[in-house]
Amino acid sequence: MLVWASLGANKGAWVGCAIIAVLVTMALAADLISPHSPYRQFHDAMLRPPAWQAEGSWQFPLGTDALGRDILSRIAHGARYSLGIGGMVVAMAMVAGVAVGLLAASAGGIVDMALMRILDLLMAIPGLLLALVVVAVLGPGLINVVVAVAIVLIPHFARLARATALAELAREYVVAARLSGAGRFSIMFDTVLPNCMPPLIVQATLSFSAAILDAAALGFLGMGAQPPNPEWGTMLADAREFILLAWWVVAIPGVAILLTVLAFNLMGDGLRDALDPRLRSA
Amino acid sequence: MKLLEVRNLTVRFPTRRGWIHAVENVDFDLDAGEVLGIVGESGSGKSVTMLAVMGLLPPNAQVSADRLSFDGTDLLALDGRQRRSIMGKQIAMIFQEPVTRLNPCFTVGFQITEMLAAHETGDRAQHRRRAMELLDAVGISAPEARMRAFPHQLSGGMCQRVMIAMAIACQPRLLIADEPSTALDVTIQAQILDLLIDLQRKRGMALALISHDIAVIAETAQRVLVMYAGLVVEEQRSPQIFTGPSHPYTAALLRALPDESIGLPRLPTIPGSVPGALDRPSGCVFGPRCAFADARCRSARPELVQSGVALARCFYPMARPEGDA
Amino acid sequence: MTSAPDATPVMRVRGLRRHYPVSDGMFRQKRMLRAVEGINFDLHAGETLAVVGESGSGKSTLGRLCALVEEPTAGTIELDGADIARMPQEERRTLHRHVQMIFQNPFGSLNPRKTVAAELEAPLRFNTRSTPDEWRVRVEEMLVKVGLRIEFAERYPHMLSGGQRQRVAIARALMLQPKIIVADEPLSALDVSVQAQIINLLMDLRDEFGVSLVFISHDISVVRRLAHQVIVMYLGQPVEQGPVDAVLANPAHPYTKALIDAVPKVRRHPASERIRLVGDMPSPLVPRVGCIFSSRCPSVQISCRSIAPALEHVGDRLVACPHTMQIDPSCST
Repeated sequence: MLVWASLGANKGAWVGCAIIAVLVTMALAADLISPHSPYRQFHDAMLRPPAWQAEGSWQFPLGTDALGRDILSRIAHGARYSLGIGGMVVAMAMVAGVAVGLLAASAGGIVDMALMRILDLLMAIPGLLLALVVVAVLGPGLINVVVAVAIVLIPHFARLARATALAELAREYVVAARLSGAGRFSIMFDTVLPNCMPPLIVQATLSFSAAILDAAALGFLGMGAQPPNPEWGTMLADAREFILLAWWVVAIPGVAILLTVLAFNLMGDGLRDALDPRLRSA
Repeated sequence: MKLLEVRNLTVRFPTRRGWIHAVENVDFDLDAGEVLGIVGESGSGKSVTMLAVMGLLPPNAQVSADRLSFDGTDLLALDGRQRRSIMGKQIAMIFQEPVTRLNPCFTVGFQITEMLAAHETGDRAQHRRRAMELLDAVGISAPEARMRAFPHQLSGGMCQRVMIAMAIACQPRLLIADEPSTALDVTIQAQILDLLIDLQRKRGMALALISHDIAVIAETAQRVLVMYAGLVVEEQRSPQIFTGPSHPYTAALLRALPDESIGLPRLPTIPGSVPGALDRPSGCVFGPRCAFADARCRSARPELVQSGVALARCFYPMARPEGDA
Repeated sequence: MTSAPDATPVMRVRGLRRHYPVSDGMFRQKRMLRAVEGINFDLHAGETLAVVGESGSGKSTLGRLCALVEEPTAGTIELDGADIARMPQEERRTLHRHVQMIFQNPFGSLNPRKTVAAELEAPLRFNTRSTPDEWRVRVEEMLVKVGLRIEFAERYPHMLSGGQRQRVAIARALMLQPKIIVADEPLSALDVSVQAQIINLLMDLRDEFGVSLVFISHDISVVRRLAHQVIVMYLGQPVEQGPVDAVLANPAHPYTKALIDAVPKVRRHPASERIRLVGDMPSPLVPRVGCIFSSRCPSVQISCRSIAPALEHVGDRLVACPHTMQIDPSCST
């Protein structure tokens, strides 16, 4: 449809898509790409630089970390964690957020006000701090990181869903649907929600990158995936002390995070541009 | 010398599927002090024609004409500064939906005085006085108070009067009114149209009135241009055009008015619908919907020809009914 | 246009009012927006009642009240004898199959993400027990009736022209064979040539289905064509009400006269006087003293500003103006 055409025209979105495609392939085919197991420690090859450096070798294309683990393998497997975390967080936040937003929009009155004030409260707390608090309560670990970051993102989805739902509810075809005999739920999910999707999709794409960053930050603080799991943020945490000695242990996971976030942002921007004119005309 | 001369005006837009001709081969003149009515349905190109004259089309529009001159000045050859000195000062334009056309962030008084400051000399106090005179001239009571109002605080009719005040501020020689009353209530519409004609007469302005409502044109215009699918299909003086239309489209349009078919059980309709810009028929644009079309109409596009007192783009222009002047 | 034969009216409305409280800020007292004030009418089977007025007249609100989209503040609406105005929400939902609505904006009234078929099936889906195949048959039947080819069923609204969308809206309204259809300015957004087609369509369908129409419009010439009875509204109140031919050919109330005269005509009667109203419509929020039209009436008198006239029988109609001249049948606009 029209959307694909406009998306196709956006160069940034192409780049973003390409990078994401590479990442997904990497995550899915991690076992195939990795020269070694991400957990195997080579005690005679600790802190080896990447292959293009003087002391590097192609046995470890991106070098090794302080425990002699191959960085390329860890990056490839780490992609699974990052994409997985991003996906789960966004899915959770979107489902919960949209449900809350639609409830607020359709209920109105006191319910709406109460829900919005709770969300305001959540949004007033800095994201990372809130996530830390939740993880501190629930304990460190991957699932808890997902829950924590999802909670941070829920208010954004909820507000967006509520705003678009309120606009949609004022449209004449909603009145027409009611006259056709549709009940409240049917109107919400059949009629209103599909028309709210475009901005929500854009929000989801952009939230992906926020989710990855927050998860990496939590990992860096030691609250996320526990070692020896090759999550990129945890890799950064392990490498803190070696920043001056062995830059590649820090830089390469960092670049991986950077590229992923960039890719999703480009995609999100492209999607927003592609979907916006249709929003305006619809 | 004619005030506005347009010869072979064509406006086209590039799209992914090729060029869209919004307006093709449009010719017309406008004399000083004359009221010209341009009537057409959606897609007829009536607004685009006048926007092209004003230079208000989006940058991707391609405007070409053999002649597009105002008072002897070639409008196509103007640079930005020269154009700005003419537009607003000698040619002014008012639009549909007046409330949205005014800047919501500034008071009405500010917007009028800004207009005056751009084109005329004088200090702020003089401009303020002029602005109040103008508001009075367009029939706004208590102009002092109205000057301080914001557009959203005024009614549609009031906003349109403000727009008219801004338009006539610099004594333009030509006023273009693009559907000025369409978004307004009927009683307000009547007031606005009366105002326009009154101002036109008092100030000797030429008025180009664009409307989809043929009755509005009938009550105001001296000469009428009928447009269809980007082409001028008929040009004739009023009221003769309404008693003896020359082009089948004009005739069909008049017959389709509910008031014209009082005794009939059903309204005569024009079958089909206006062709989109990309599916214009080869041959006469109105051919597919015309009751009188034949093979010639389907294969060749007619030129604008003289038929009695009218100009009609038709191979078989209609004759005047007997007994009419 | 002759009236339908006398029988129990399909819809009977008495004393209908709709007020909206409007807050003036948190600490000021709420003001009342009197959108509809005191409407009475009987609508018979097959009859068309036109509601005419300008913006702020309350005609759209009246339409929404009749279609049970909103609940009235006061008054009764009887459908086949039963008062439905204040039924609970759930019961009201079942009444929608008797009263349907067509809207002004053809694009806005169709869900942009639903195909024509999905849109037309919805009323059947929610109200009948038939199967999807049966729905499909009905949808195709209805498409043909409104003059669209069957392949339009798979199209989306943005692939249709304004006239085609309005035909879909009409088809949707007829799916449940309602007794009454409220049409809120269904022609205003259409080109003149398309308007004529839709008017013909409405007339044909009205005859075929025997449905009553509440036709809301500001377009006098269309009303003259379609309606049997007319109510002229100003600021929420009825100012004149009666048989359409009589009222439009020979208006009694000064507002009706001004309204009819203001409509531009291709052929104007040489002897008709030009009546022009002065000023704008007053705000509906300001409480009124005396006649609501007194601020703009060209024939206003001193008593008009203090005494609010009631709607009274004058000849063949109801008029809210004590100063109407004797209605002279030889006059015409």
